[in-house]
Amino acid sequence: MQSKYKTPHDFVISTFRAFDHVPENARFVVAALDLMAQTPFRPGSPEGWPDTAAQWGGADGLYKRIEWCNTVARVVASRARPVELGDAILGPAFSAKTRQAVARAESGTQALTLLLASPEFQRR
Amino acid sequence: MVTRREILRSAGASALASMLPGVVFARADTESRFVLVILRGAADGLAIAAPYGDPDYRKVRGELALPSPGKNGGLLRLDRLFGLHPSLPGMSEEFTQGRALIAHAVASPYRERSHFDGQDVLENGASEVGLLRDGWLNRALAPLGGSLGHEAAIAMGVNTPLVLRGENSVTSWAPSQLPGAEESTIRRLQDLYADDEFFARRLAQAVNSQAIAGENASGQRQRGGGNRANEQIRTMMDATARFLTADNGPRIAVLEAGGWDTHANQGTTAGALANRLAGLDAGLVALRAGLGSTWSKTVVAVVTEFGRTVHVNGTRGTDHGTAAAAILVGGAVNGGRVLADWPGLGKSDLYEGRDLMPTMDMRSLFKGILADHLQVSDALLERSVFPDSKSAPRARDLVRVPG
Repeated sequence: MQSKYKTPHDFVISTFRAFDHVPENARFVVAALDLMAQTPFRPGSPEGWPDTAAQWGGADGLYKRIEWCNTVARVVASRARPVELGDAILGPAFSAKTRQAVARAESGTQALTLLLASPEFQRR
Repeated sequence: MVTRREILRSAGASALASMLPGVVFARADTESRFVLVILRGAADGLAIAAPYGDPDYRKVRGELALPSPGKNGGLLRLDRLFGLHPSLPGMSEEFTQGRALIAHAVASPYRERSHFDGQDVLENGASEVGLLRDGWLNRALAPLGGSLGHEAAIAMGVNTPLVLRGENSVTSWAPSQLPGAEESTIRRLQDLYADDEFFARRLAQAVNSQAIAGENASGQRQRGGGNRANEQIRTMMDATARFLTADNGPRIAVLEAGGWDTHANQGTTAGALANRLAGLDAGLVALRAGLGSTWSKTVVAVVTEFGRTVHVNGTRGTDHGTAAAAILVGGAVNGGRVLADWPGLGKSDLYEGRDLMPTMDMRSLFKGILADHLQVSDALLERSVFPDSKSAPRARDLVRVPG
């Protein structure tokens, strides 16, 4: 049962994993987390980034994720098959509603954006 | 995800409304605006508003002492004791017009020297670190109303600072560095999220914010020559003005600015701190310009987690201290004065022999603003916004009485 909204870190890493991609340069991961305002090793507190979604789970945090999903989708769209990818990465959590939205998307980029930004992919 | 408490509260409100025909649940006093600016890193209150008239000032501040008013690059005179840093001309003008107030020797109840714990107490409104996991400004939102798309408060940032976290819904916005998703993609996401309260609410808030922020929203982060931190303040202040003047926009905004931890080469009339102050001043002036006539209904509070040491350290900077200065500015501020029970700078006057002694509790300022500007009741202030704050009575007359 999925219940928690992924941290920016979980979300970025799981996106790379979804494409079985290990970035050659850690800068890509750092840049993504910087966009979501949780830059690695710069939490502003020795306790690290907070562990409750109250900090990262606001409106703008979600919007930044969607923008990042869209950017990733544009890069990889030509190589991915969105519905099959959804089955592979979400398994039984892939809802009929999301599957339909992904299948009916007007472009490969949009399909992948919808998949990555879907509630089930953003939760764990 | 809607919490059980939210459901209960909204059910309670509608039940109450149905029992009391004719009673309209309007948002209380929709006119007042409040902006909280948190300077993270402990800004030096003795540089923001220097007590040039204190007989010990030049001695204790040594090479960081600022020239007296009237001298070349000198302080901007506030009164016989205090002068504003010369990088704050906009605040000086507001002070002269009676729209800025400097509160000095203020501190939160926190008495150690960790930025993070200090900020925790500044924002949670409790008397100790970690005592409350939500923020005082969020708790104060309860009577201010607001609904989806009409949130009373906005965090100007990707993440929500502690002071705004809590069970009352707030929104957030920050400029983008990536091209936005196409409108049709956003629409399809709205459909996809329709049955999921958590995502639906946040996307609706974000879409509203994008609409208000306008061209700012797609502006790439500025790079190159200029001072990036100061550009950020400016961008955020411009956007804040748009949000606070939008129809059904928020009335309360929280901004954060870093770069105040001046352990080395703090500088005097020029240098690191002078640059940050100039950026802050320009940002506040831009906010005033952007708010237009709404400025007259606005109170801005500029605060920091604690002050800095009175004496200069071995690297021409200052270290973590205790009491600091706060700036209240805006057309609704009853200003043109320095509010301070000045403790003095003599050896025996200092806190632990090294820091400015706090003589005013920061919570007194916040309580005064919330009560007189945002009409938050004393009962709510004492019970939930600042519990355990009897020792910090609310400051009176911080705000102009309208009319």
